[in-house]
Amino acid sequence: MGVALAVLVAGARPGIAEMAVGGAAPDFELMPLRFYDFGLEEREITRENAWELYEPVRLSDFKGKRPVALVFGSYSAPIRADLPDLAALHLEYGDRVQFLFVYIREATDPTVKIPRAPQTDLERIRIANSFVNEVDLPIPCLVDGIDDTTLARYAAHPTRAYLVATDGRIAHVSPHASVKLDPAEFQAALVVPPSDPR
Amino acid sequence: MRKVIVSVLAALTVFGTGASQSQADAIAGSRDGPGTIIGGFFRELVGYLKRSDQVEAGDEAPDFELVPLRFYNFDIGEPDELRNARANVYQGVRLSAFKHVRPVALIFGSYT
Amino acid sequence: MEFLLVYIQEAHPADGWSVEVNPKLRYVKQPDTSMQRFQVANSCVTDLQISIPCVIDNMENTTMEAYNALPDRLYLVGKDGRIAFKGRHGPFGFKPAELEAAIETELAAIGGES
Repeated sequence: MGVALAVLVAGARPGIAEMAVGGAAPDFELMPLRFYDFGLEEREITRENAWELYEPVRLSDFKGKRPVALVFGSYSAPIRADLPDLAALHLEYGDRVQFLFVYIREATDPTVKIPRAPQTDLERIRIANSFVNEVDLPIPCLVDGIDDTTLARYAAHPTRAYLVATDGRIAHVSPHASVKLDPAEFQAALVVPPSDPR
Repeated sequence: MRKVIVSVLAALTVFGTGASQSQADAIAGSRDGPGTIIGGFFRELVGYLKRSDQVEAGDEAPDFELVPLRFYNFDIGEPDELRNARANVYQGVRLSAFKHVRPVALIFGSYT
Repeated sequence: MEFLLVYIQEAHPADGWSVEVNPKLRYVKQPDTSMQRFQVANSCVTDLQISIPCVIDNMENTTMEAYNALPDRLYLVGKDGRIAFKGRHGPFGFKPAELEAAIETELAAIGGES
């Protein structure tokens, strides 16, 4: 209860110092909704390494390869109005910047949209899957564990977006309770001008 | 309704073709050596032979309650339908909920 | 008329009798947990653009066993809750046309569209 209150308080305050631009983006390991081919390395899936398909996705997997746009949200987050702009950014930069949506714990009363808040990892992944289908989210989705570790580290309540540069540092942060990211920041974060023909 | 049935059956054909093709490919050849293929084939064959049908046409369909991938609104006439539709993502979908409501086509399968 | 895709255990997992259907279908290990089965089921439904509602069998494979459904199989449960059609095992017995015929028969028996 105390942890939940601290997380709520932290998330309610804009401009949390620990997530300042220039700071190292906290690494995470999160379960994806399904198999995604991020094209990070040339590898052949074989019988021996097939288990890797079920492995969680780490932010550090992208370090040194491409910037990452992290978007945190949930059913009760004020995110839907920002989704068209997000989709436009993805269309423009998606071949050079990895967009990732992270489904987090609902910040406000979730029962407006869902029967109750999820209580296990598996319940949360089904809720997240429902959300991405409902809003037709075009970007890969990861799911925060029910212990809300990533939510806490990124002060992500109720919704937030970060641009993580290729060197793993935070390049840009959206305003509080918004996922609006400045396109100019994307240009600045891109150190490899040619498009990656993935 | 006929259009719905035809489109669903077209989707089934895609799903079933993938499954059929995988079986055909298994027999035709794979990355594995002949020993692995033959061994795997006989393992599967033994597995199939060991299983026998527990239900026949005309029997009461075995009930189940299984969790869905996401919210589905099955519209089975319960009060507060949207809430109950979304509750099924936690409670699961019961086959018997459709009894006396509408027939249900069950398609069993997997990706591989 | 309702359609339900019941996702069951993998027929050709990487750690079993594995095959490569096409280059895009990776070797999928037999899921060990509900989370893994969710992920592979979601991948299947998304990649094949299946719009049929999908439910996932438990890790004890209870429903698969009750319907003897491995590797794939079609059934029609009538409005009265009884088995109206039982298809043969896939792959060669997986025939959507047979299911269609059974659906038409059932709908005619219950007096039209449902």
